[in-house]
Amino acid sequence: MPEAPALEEIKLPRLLPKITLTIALIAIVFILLILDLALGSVHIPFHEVFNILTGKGSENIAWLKIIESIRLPKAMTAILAGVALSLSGLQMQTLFRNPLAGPSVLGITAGASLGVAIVMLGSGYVTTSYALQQFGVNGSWLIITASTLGSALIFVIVMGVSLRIHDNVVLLIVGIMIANVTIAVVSIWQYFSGPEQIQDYLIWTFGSLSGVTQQHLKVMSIAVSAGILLTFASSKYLNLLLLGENYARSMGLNVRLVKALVIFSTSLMAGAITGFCGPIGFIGIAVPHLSRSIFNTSDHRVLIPMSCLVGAALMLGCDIIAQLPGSQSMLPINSVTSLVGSPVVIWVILKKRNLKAAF
Amino acid sequence: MINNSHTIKEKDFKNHGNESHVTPLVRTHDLAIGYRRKKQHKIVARHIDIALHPGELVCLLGPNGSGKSTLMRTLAGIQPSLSGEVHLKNHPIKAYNQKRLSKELSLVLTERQQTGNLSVYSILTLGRYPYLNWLGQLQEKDKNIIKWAIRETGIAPFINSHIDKLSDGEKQKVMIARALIQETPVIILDEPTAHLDLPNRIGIIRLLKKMARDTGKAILLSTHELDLALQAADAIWLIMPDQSLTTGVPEDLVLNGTFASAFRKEGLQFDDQTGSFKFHEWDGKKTVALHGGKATRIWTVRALEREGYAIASKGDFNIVIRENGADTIWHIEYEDRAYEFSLLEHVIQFLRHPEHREIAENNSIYSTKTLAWEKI
Repeated sequence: MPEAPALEEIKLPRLLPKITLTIALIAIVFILLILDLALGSVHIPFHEVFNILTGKGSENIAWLKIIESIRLPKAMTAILAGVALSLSGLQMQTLFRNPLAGPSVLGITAGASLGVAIVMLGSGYVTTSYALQQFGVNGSWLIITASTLGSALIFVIVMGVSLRIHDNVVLLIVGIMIANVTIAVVSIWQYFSGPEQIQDYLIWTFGSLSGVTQQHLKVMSIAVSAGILLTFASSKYLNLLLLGENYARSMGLNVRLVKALVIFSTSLMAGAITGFCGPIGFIGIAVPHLSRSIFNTSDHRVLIPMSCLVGAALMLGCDIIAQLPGSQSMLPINSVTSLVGSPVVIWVILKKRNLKAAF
Repeated sequence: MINNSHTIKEKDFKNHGNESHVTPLVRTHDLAIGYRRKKQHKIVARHIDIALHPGELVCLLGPNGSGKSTLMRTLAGIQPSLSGEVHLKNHPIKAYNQKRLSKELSLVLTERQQTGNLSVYSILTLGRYPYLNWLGQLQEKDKNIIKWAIRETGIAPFINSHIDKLSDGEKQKVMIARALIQETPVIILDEPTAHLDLPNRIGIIRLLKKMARDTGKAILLSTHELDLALQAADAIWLIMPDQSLTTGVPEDLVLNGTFASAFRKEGLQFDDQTGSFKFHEWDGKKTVALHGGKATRIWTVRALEREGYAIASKGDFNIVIRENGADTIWHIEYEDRAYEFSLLEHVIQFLRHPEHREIAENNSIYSTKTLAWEKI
């Protein structure tokens, strides 16, 4: 038997993500942010965008106005939405041990829209993006609360089903069914509304980052930041869950508490984003896979910060495409994320061949 | 007989000298295990009195479905008992919360890892979870324990690899290292040798044995490897067909016939000479008389048994083994002929078709009429 080495000779690897990749990602997010602010129906030169961002202002009042009150809130919303949806998807994929889990797939976003619809119905408003914009700060909190509760309600139902069914595919089908029921409830209510409201609702379901006013943005960023903090705090719990619930318990993890934590933060983040921007698909499911394949790990200490960056970058990219630079029209953000997200998911599956093993 | 062996064993423990004064880490009294289903109790095993001492490697044996996993889960506090209590360090296990329990008892489970994309080192760091602050940072002490476990389990070459790139044996070593890193006085392993090839099985058991001896940990593992358990275990817990549990030192359990009775129901014959199950059942017809032979004898017997023969003092054939240094010669008399073979293969060929004289003569290094042979 070979001589056992001294303890000092054993070198432990580092757990942090690769620094070069991290810096590159941060740079990409920043570049995309500038592009998002500069491009659009009105083209604003990059150095002007820089000046406005750094507080030097601009000679052109119109550009200043466009950036400060329209494009910056929209870009911020894009970043928040990207981060929030990615982290929700990541946590759900780990919690359910299912590579296809995500806020839109398992009906969390549908639950959020149900919550919003119920508030509108109860307070006599209709779900229109116009009505959403008319709400003041109190209204924003109301919407966040409603959409979060709606998300949490669906999450708890799906969670309850997952306790009885251990088959991932069956759980997925149940999640999709619950999402469909939720959407149907909202649709029936829409059916009894006037044609304008139906049109408005359809616009809402397309998803929009620009409907978010600065006031909404404040509320949304508070809610999303809370969710992000919770997610970061639970990264070591999530790692334990990767080994399965029995192992996690044997290592002293209070699994029930962690589940509650994940439900709360996911519902808060996905609920807040969906409440204000409408359902945005595919980011939640695509970004965690993308991050896993870029950084080649499932370790949440790496995945959580990196999913934030990848999510923000992807969402900014989608927004740049959505505003069709140089043209007067805009594409619905939901179709753009699906257009970009679906190929990403397919690419990841093809590249990894075995999603389960990579996951 | 079962009760008898049980009392013998209890007395043995008390006569053990120093060890008997060490308080057991895990102890049960009249424990019944099983499942609660709609207010109905499905009892898997009952009247379980066991004690797991520091420094002991204990193997839990029993046929499939006999409740090995249930017992382990109950001892680990994952599953409630039906009656009786599990005591961990003299406190009922129910009194421990998850966090405290994780510092006393660690698990290595059978469920195959689905976590494809975690590096070995990431998994090892998870073992320190019970001791980490809320930030989850590893201190120098944590890192030293991780290094120690890496060295003891010999997994240093692949701590940077991803777990799904490892072989089953390497994976198992990683999970054992993770349990060692959890720094618990008790480690419970559910079939750690399943899915492994023989060298890996021996390697794992040897590692566990060494850990129990060197660190004073109490290690309980369930296994199907009867001969490995007989060789390595300080004590064996055997789940009997009547749902009771018999414990004892392996050799005692062999000598008092506990093994034989435990597996009789399964139609298996336990051979207390070899410590394993008899593979070949004798149909009660063919016999052979075997004379001489030392080292060669046991292998000759195996070959003959595989051919369906039993060894008797008077048989259908008369075989004499003559060992001459490294060479062995088998003499066989049949009818008026006598043959000498240098390979068991030829002996077997002859036994199958003793009437084919030509083949026998071709294979034999020497053959003659019986009369001539008697002269030699």
